[in-house]
Amino acid sequence: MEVTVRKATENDFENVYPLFEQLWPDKKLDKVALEIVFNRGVNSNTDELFCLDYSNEVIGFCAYAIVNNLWQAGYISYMYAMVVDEKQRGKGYGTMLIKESLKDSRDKGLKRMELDSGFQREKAHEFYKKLGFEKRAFLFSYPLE
Amino acid sequence: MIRKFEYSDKSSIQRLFELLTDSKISDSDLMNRLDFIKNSTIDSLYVYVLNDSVIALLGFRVRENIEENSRYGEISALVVDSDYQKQGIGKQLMEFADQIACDFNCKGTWLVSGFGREEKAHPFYKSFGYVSTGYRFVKQ
Repeated sequence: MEVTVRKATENDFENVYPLFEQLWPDKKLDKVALEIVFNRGVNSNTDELFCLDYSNEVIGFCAYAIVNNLWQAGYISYMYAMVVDEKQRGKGYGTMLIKESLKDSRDKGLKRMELDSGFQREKAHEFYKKLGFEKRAFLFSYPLE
Repeated sequence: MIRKFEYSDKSSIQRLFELLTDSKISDSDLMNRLDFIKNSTIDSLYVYVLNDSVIALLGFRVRENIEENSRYGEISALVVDSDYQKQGIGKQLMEFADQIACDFNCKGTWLVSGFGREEKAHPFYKSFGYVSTGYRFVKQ
């Protein structure tokens, strides 16, 4: 079976949406709004979205944004979504997605990659550690509503 | 008084930033960061002025949430001069950040706090109702 990682297009949204449902199972997703955000990412110069195809089916997705902030004088890669179909996990597909994103980021001259991950995603943390990511900080959140 | 930064605040900002990161920041590096803020549509940097001196700063960013087409405010930097800590200035800046978040229709605010700040910073954030939710991962 052929496995490929490629850049996403607007046409991929329908196939990626079920993966978003797996990524954020506790959130009530607004499909229309999410498609707007997805297409904005596909068409943006500062975002890169990737699909992993397994015999013509999209079974993995990740996306990063090129960002700058006060903390570093220079641009970095911020991965804001990363998911592999739950039936296909543990087979190295996530590693393929991350490695392709890292290569793409380095080709653009980005200094490093950052990502945020909730405490409950313990398996993901192991996965990121294996790929050379280091835990550096805590996230704090405060809902206004 | 809390106001947006100006380039004339440069040396005070440099000093506060060095206090925050515990490392030297070159003039050119600082100028890059200030230019970045000036040109960014989602970032802002505020200074707290007392008797004509800048004694604290607050960085704020508006972040679009991918999963629900909504916004969150991010406190991207917060530092108070060591001589003026524990006088409620940080609290005023946190409340100011809440206000900006409301103005931008943010659903909430969030922040990233580096390992090593657990003792001092975390109880401060928790006192405002912040809850820690996860980790920031970095690969060089």
